Amino acid sequence: MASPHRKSKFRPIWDFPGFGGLSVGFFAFLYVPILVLVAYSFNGSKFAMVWSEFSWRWYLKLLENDDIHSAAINSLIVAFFAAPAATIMATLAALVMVRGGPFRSRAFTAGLITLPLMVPEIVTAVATLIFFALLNINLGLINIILAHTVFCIPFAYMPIRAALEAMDPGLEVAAQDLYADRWDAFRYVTLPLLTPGIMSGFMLAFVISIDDFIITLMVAGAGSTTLPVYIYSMIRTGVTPEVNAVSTLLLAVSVILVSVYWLLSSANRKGEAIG
Amino acid sequence: MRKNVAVDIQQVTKIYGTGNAAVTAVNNVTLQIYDNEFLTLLGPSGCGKTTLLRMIAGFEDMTKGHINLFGEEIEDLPPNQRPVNTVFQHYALFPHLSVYENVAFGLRRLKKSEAEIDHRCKEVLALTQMEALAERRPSQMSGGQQQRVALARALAPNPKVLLLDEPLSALDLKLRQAMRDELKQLQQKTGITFIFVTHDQEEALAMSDRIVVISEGKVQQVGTPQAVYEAPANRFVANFIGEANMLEASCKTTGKNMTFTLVGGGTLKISTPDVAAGDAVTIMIRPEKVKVLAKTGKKTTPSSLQMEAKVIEQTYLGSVTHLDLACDGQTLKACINQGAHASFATGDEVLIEIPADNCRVLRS
Ligand SMILES: Nc1ncnc2c1ncn2[C@@H]1O[C@H](COP(=O)(O)OP(=O)(O)O)[C@@H](O)[C@H]1O
Ligand SMILES: [Mg+2]
Repeated sequence: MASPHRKSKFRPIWDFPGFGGLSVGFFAFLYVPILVLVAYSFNGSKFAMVWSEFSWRWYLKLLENDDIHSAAINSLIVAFFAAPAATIMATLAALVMVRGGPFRSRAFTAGLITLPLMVPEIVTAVATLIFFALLNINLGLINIILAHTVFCIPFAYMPIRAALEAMDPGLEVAAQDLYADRWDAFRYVTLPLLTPGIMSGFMLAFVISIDDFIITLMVAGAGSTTLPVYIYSMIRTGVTPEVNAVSTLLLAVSVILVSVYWLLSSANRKGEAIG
Repeated sequence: MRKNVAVDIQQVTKIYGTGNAAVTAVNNVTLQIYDNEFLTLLGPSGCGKTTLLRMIAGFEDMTKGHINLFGEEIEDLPPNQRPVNTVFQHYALFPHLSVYENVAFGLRRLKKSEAEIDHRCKEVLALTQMEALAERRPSQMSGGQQQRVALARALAPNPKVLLLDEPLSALDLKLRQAMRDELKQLQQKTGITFIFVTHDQEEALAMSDRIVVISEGKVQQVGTPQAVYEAPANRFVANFIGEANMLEASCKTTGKNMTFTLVGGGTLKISTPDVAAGDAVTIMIRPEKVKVLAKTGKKTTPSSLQMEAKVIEQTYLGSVTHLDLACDGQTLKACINQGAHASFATGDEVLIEIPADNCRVLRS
């Protein structure tokens, strides 16, 4: 039997003094402001920082605010078109990169697809703005949809590529052995097995699109304001309890989508362990 | 009666890569595989067995040569148009489909009617004893069960030729031995030509109608299990299949019975058509053919060579005992039946007898 007092040279990191406190402080710094924001969105008082009573008052007020409505609808429209478009392109890119065999400049292409994740967003934003201005493209929401589609592709691409890499290429070989042509093999084997990966890519693209602020702020013309941009404009005239409420709603949408994404990708991982 | 050729492999060569990185996986292989035959490709890992199968199935292009299937050229047919199915080494079952749908996959792609699909699926699931698990997913089954599903899936479209790439290698020993008999019976019941790949010589001897021994991409010998065991064509085959004692010798006189003089002394008269006087040869004898006698024992057969030897190690294996014997500066292996003979102890001085009839002359 191993001695419970056996001395080890290596102490687990949580044994070091101050580690516990530091991590509690870290999480508090990250999450307490968000919790306060959520709590105060249910505050009956009209002063943002003075608690009076629990109330749905600000949510009801949101319902009456037409500007917020149109901003929220704009956000949904953009994500509704941009996320699927980005997901389809990301899926095609992943198929080429993982199953396309070797081709010239393959490594370069792989870098090119994921590079936007590392380019500062403000740079992308300014570049996109200049691009649209130069070509004189002024299509309102369509401008935003185009911009979102493009910068969401690498986000959708990452989980799809991971799922495809985890998939045994022998399954497609087996399908061909069983009289499936390449299209049948894709439709009846690759696609069903890749669906969880594609869904998580889609969720990620959707959340990124809904939440995006910098690029949208640059590209959005008058009348095509999205929710994050609208919230920013509200804050400039002072933090009202309404801002808390609308932020809480946005947070709820993100949390729900990310949870679905997480559930799907963990189902995906379980599938791998078996396959 | 002339046998119908199912797969005709003509001078097939496969080279992977180019220049310095080129690997010749299959080297000028010519082979006829007959209809309704259980043929085994036997050879060590990396000798090109899988590559040969993949070329028959259509997953690999040939560098040179031709493959005909029942007299038809198949080179230009993609894998999904060849009437050939494969049982893959790691099964490659579709994890998102039930056992039933896995088995139905090929029939669905062939656009069979629903009634036909149902009938055939039930038939092959019964044949492989998997009816009870038809609704399971592959992940909910043991390795042995997955193996049966892979077999059922490949048999369902009733292929003309079934390719099996080391299908038993992932199973444990007991299961592997049970599956041998079952596979053999399945082949006889269905009448489908089986091309079975293995690196396990015991498996090959137990199951095959004919064995093709391959080494470094080249065919070394083609023959029945008995032929490759008892009359190996060369040293590689002799060593790879079963155990063998090798005695270096030179050929002395011509005539019907040639006299072979061992390097260590002693002579054997063996009739063999394959060698000429002066050839340096190797004489092969299987351990179970070497007779071991007590020092005082009498010669049992006239045409045999008798030598003095010493037991250096013995391994008791139940029904038989393996002996390592020091004889003329080399180690010979003998395998004696339990009970029939007196037992020997390590260190015993013994006489060994090598019957000429059981010797096989191999060119060095
Ligand atoms: N796709 C490939 N590319 C390059 N070399 C390969 C490839 N497949 C197999 N080889 C080489 O060809 C030889 C034969 O391989 P294989 O047919 O798989 O042998 P086996 O199935 O008998 O173990 C090996 O040396 C292997 O390294
Ligand atoms: Mg192999």
